Amino acid sequence: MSTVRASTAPATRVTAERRHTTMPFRVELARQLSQWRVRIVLIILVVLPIIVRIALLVGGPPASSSSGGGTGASSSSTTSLIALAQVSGTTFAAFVIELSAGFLLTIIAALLFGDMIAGEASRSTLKYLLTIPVPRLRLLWVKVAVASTLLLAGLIALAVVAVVVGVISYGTGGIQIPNGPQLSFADSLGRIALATATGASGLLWAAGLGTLLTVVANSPLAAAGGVVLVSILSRLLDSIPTLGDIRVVLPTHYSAAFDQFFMSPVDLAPVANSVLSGLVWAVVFGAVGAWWFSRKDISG
Amino acid sequence: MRRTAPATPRGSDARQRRTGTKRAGRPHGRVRAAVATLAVAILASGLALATGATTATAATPAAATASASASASAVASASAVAAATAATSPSATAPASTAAASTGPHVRSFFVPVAESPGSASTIQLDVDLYTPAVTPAPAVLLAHGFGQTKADLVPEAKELQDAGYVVLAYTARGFGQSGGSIGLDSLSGEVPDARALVDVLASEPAVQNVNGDPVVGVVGGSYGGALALMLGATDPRIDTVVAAITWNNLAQALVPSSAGVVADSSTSSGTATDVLRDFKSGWASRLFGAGITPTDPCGRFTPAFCALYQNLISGAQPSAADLALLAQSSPSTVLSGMKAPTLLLQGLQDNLFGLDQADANEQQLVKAGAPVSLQWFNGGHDGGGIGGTDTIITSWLADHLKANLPVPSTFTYAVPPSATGFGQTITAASYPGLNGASTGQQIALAGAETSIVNPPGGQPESVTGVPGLNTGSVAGGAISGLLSASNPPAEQAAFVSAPLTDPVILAGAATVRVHVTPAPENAALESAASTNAGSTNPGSTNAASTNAAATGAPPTTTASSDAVLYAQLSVTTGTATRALPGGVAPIHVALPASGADVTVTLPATAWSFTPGDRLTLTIRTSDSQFSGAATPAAYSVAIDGPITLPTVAAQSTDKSAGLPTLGSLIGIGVTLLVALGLIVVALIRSRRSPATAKASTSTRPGASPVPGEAAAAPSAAAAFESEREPEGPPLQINGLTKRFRSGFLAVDDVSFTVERGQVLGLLGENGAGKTTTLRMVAGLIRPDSGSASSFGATISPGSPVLSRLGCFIEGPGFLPHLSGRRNLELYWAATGRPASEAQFDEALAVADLGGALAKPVRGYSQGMRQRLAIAQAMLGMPDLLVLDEPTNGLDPPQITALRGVLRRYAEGGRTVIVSSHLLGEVELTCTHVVVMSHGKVVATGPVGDIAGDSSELVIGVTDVDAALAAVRNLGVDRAEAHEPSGIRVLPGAHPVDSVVATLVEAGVGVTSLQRGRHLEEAFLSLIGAREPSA
Repeated sequence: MSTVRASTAPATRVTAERRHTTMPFRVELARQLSQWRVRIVLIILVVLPIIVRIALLVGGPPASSSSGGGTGASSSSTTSLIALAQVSGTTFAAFVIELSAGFLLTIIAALLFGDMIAGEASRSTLKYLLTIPVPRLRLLWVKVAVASTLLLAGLIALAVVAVVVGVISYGTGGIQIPNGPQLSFADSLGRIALATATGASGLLWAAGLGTLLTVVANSPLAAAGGVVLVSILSRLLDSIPTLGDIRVVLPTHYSAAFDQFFMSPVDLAPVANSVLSGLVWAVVFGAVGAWWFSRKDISG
Repeated sequence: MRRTAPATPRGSDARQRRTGTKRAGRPHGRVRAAVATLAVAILASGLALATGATTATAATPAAATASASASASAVASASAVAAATAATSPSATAPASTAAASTGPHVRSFFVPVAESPGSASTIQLDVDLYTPAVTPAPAVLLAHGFGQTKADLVPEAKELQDAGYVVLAYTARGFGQSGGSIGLDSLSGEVPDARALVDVLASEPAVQNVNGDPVVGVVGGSYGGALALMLGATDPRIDTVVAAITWNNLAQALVPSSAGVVADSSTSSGTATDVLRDFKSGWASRLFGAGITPTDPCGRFTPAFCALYQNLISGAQPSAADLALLAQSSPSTVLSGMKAPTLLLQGLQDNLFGLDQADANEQQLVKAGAPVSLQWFNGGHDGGGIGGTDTIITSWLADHLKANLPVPSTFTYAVPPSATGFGQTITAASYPGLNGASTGQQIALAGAETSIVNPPGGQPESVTGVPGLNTGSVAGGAISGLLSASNPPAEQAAFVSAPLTDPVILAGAATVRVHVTPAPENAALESAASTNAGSTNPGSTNAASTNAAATGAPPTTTASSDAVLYAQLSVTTGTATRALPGGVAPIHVALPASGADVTVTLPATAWSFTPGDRLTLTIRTSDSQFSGAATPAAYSVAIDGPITLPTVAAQSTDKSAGLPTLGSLIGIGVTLLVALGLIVVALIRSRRSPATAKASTSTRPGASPVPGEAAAAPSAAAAFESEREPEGPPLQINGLTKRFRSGFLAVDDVSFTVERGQVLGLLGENGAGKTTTLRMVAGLIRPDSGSASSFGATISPGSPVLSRLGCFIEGPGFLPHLSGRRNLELYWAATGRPASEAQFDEALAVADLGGALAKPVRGYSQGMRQRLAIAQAMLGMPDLLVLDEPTNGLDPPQITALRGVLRRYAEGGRTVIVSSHLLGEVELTCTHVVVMSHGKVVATGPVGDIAGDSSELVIGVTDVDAALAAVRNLGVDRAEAHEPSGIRVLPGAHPVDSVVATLVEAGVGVTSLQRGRHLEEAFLSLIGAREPSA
């Protein structure tokens, strides 16, 4: 410990004039990817289609969708993607996306974004990052960028794996629209991509709220839990029809907009509304979060 | 008896509701939709499907839409007021009406007496609301309601028209609500003269615009009110325009339609109209009748003639000539030849009650009468949400043809409902071509084997093709009708399917197809079997004799086997989904020769967009839940005979706005993105500006002169580097720093001190003295309430670039626990964005002295190891100012000793170290300077010697303080003073210790103790006013 020969080292001046780009994106990405919780989140997304495939295997062979007679008619009148999941590879992928978009992706967004600042604070590493100094908005920005990248990568991985697993298992047929036509394979791939993008826009509010809560709360659990709680509350309120048009302000009101791409015809109005709603909430939450973080006293 | 409602409260209630509606709708521009919903629910919902339950459910969404604030209760109170008004005595009238008449738009309620029947002396009272707009005189609109409704259901539409500047007279037709009289189904001897009497009221009303004594009056109605509008317009020349929605032309044809199929070579069966075989639309008719009955009378408020007519039809009989004459009295077809006023006919595609054929008949008669007429098909109707969405069409029509007198356009606009592959469209054609289309139409071949189908005895079980009033356009309605039709008995239907279409086709009109129907020879056998069954189920008739008797001795009484009753329906299959086309089923009731006949079937007129790949299915059934059908068992053999002809109408223009995002959403997205961009730009500008000001202050501020001796201590290279630079501020200067936490605790109170280059400053204070808080402010982690800290002349704020010259260790280590110590330091340095060569990892790691543990995850480290790693992290890059908060916590004595050396040497290079501690000995041994803090304040600053005394100082316990002081002063020491409780403090100067002690002993003073060196502890305790740890 006493071996340091400080006197031989010149008093280096890291001058105020020399500005460095602190906390480069790749460094934060490496820091995040070194954590097992982040890896597990991504692994879940990648493995999910395989789990669903296995579940369908366990559940037995697909029910014949074209069985004649009365039963066929009754099934066709109540068909959904669940019943059609095994018709073709892309239908399977659509089904997997529909499965995960409901709640899983919200939780994953909550975990990734809720952990950003609160996670550093809970490990006491936040103060050391800030005294580097990483400017606070820079830190938040890089964190948001990394969390968004991870979430998007997870989503894309989910869609790609779902398509691959689906095509291997059920062939290259197009999406069978419930109570509608069967699409071409190329059209189906495009729709899966668009549905994934719309699903991502449906998570914008969760990302924004996670950003706000992660700077307000000092515990990552509180931040992620808060997002999940708000999501549940919002869905709950959304299911009360007497609230009428007020429900459009609920962040999850348009959360099923991605579903439009698995329907025929595709109504782009809810998709645009979903993007608008997500953007508005993300900007509001994100701006408040950034403002709060820029003036927050860091203790602990 | 003339009664008038207090107008003001009703008006305000209604206004509240409107405001609520707008507020609810505004976020997504849904004002129009919300108003439309209200209009649908109140004007059209119970329009004909008028049991109480249906009306209630239909009204609920309207209330929900309107209930932005308390408007749901406003709806309730509005109807409550209406009820109260109707019930109050005449005394509550005149003052209110005069008061209301004086200002603005208002509503007056009163009763109008009319003759019970033409020429009759007895009168009945009609319940009337008169809405007056803000500006009068104004054109008037007579509003007629749907079947089973009252004027209260017209409030939203009336308010809307009132706001649009019309005098509106909304009234309850005879036989409904508070109005007197019996229901005559818009009879020419009842309801129509009533309406003319109401036009008299409008004509005498000063608020109504008048042209040469002729009041400007339009009449608007849907369904029941629509037929009234047509008949009033045709019989009263004062009417200037007519709007009739989803209504009938000939009530007999609407309720008891004649066969939609005719035997192709019908030379034998051609005859007079009475020979036409009809089928009773029992589903809708019974529903309508149910809307008129009352608990006290099974005939309800119907006229006895209609009650008898209904009972006759529902029992399965064909209508008599008298019946048809009675229905003709309630049909516009009887009088339309007298119409001259411009007329708008709106007919719904989803209407099994009054189909497009009724509007077509109206149109033909009106054209023949020379009245300007415009016909529109919209995606609604009695089985599709009423007249929702037509309010804009109606208001613009009134504006063009009542307020103004524009020519009626010849264009024909029709809606195409959404299908499995396409959205609904609105298509405009140059002119209305009738139900057979503008061209020869599209021929599509249907395939299917000749199929035998049976009509079970009693017509049960029935095929279900719809439920009267069920909105099949809605998701739930579609699912329900799908479920219901799924269990249709296969033995009762024959299906003929087309090949997948190759080209898109838009059907607009009535498709026609020819089928060959042969009565099965076994019909007689079937009937006998039915009789057998009937006999065998009869208890007590189990023997064969009676069975045979029944079979042979009971010839069919009801029918000739040649009388065929069938139902034809078109449906479309897209992918796996099959949907019935809107418009219902075509009843076929023909007399067949035993050899069978070709029957040309005209299917219900409708509009539909077929996409390539769709398949068209013609289904022929023997029973249908919406028609009374035939109870006699029968069997037929049905074969397709030729292609189906789909009429088409060439489109002039097509509105395909459905399915696209609203403009508002797109603008909203753009605005939000711009706002986000703006916020980012603002944040960037602010972050660029703050370092700029810091830089400016760095260059302008005259720095404190370097600590003497620093240059000597620093190597020459460093000195040369120094000399090139402008003098800069001290490593740390704190001015009046104050921080009060949100809890109200004043942690740091006006703290000021300066740390010069080369110093090792000890920040000393008890727990909670504010040391850590001060250091946090120095590191820019928390903002001071007032005062400032600057480092090297630059003011410190969160994220200040000058912080890069600081190395901090504050309140415990913080690492990524799953990574090794080395990886932690590497990532930390990578986060600074500075080249790794500047980090001087080796020196820092030498301080940490972790050995092999450096490669292991930090989570396995002891407290001391983490502490040392954190200090090493703070030293990375050898910052000019090292701030260490309680660095010795968790270190063992050898490590503490080693750290002392590290810190001293660190400062020798011209760098500066700040160490906070509550361990006095630590500070005493390590530091050159000390700042003592207590309760948030600085109580002393200076070199350690000044505070703690010189290291050569002696504290001597003596028996006699005064004598001792005198003795040592005589000796000539530098300084001597008393030291509590019984001792002296001596700075001996040149005198060795032993001579001082000898002097004391010589002076006869007993020496009880002798202590040499500093006494920071005492100094500290006296500075902070130490109290005994009593609490």
